[in-house]
Amino acid sequence: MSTIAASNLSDGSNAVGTDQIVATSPRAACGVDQMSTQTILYSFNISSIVDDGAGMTDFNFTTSMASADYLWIKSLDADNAPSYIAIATEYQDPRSASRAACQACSAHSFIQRTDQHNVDCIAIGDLA
Amino acid sequence: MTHLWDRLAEAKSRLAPVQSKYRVVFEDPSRPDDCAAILVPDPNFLAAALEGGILPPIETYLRDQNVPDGQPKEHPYAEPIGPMTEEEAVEFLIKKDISPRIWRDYNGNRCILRIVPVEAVPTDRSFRNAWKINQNTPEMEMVA
Repeated sequence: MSTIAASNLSDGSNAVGTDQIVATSPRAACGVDQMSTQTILYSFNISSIVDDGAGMTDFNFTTSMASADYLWIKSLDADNAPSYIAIATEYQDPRSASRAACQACSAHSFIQRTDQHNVDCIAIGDLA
Repeated sequence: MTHLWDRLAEAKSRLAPVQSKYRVVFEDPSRPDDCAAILVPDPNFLAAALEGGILPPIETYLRDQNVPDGQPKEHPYAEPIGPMTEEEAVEFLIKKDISPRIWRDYNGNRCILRIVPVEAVPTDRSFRNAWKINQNTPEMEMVA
């Protein structure tokens, strides 16, 4: 693997420190199809997912985050249920450095969950 | 020693993902009303496990479970272990990603954890939130 060493990136007029880029780059990512048997579509730094029920998925990280304080971004492509949204939940144990959760909920009732074709999550923060 | 995250990035660039032929079905005895959960091994993780020289020993993960947030953890810089079989990799995941109260500490009569072929998991998810592990047959199957 090759390495590019630089302290700043610039487009000629604006510059940004590479430390900011490193600090804000995703540390884990995963896309899941919850229909049928839950399937991992793509992933990085994920050891497994846990199908916890309709619309509910846990994500286990191979490399833990430094703490439970990290950015956990969820989205879903609710092609068959436009009013659905993705939210983080603590329906099992609270979010930890090594695991996070996502569930596909109705925007009108967070206890109404339905499987979705594309649930995508990324984690941004410091690694252990 | 290279950080585990960097080893995973390097491995992902050269190893093809491997879909597991197993799933782990389990129930949490402390939450008897919950439905059965199904653990799905990650294809990139499985590729790294089969390759060897990437993942740390499972003991480091277990020790790190007792390390408070913000404190240095052992597993990112631990010496990697050699290649595993798929069955060993699934056992590794059970210990890493499922609570010890399920795979180690439970002493009841009910079967709360089974490793099953992926074909044994129903594809029809009707009544998914009522799924439980079938206690009446030795076959690896589930009932709603």
